[in-house]
Amino acid sequence: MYEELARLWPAVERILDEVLDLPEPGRTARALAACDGDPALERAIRAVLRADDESRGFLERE
Amino acid sequence: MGEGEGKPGKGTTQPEGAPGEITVLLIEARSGDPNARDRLFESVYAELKTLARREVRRHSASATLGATALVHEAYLRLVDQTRADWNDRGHFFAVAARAMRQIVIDHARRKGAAKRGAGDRAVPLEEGHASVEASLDDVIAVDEALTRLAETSPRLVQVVELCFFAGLTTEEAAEALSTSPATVKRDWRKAKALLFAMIRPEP
Repeated sequence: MYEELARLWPAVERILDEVLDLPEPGRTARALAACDGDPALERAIRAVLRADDESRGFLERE
Repeated sequence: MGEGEGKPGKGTTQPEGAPGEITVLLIEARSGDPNARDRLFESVYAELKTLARREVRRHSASATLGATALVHEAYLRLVDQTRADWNDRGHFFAVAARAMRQIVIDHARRKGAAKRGAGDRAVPLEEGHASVEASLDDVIAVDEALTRLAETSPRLVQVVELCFFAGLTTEEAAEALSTSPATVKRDWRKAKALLFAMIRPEP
């Protein structure tokens, strides 16, 4: 999955910068809408949002 | 012979790189001199390593590396604050963070080699909002993942070096990168998500 994320990173990062601070479910909906129906980008966005959720405590002290 | 070790200018209390020298290198590096950048890194690395060794000796049982404290102490010892400006402080942190990454990884690899087979021994890195109580394997995995991340986003790598390896606060990291704390927070989250995707791939 990371390979795909890295390949699409400029587009993924642009979308993340817009949605990262939004609460769910609006966050995912808005992020997916920004993919313009591109299935690879949608997959990358779902993966990175899941990684963001799961990595909250990752590398953090508390 | 007989007295000293033939190292001119290196008294018993003087750090590896004297304040004047590092300050000059910081100012030269600011103007883009690549030679000054290399020498600055080497001097900061050497000083941090000396301080880290002293820490490890002092707490030999736990071998705690207080990354945040080391970086701040190195700054106070090395940089002449009457001559360096605010930007130089940020730049020093950026260089020190890169050096800390190297030191932490060397430390983890050595401990890993010594403890191999004895399970997953923790390497505590203290303080800072983002610092860690990470296992040896985690620290090494993060380092390897960062090397890959550098191809995608060198900026995110710098954020991780500052927040994770040097344990700086969001504000200090922002200062080092000449950006806002809000940007550092967002970049830190993006970097963590990407590293997580590399290190903990889905089944």
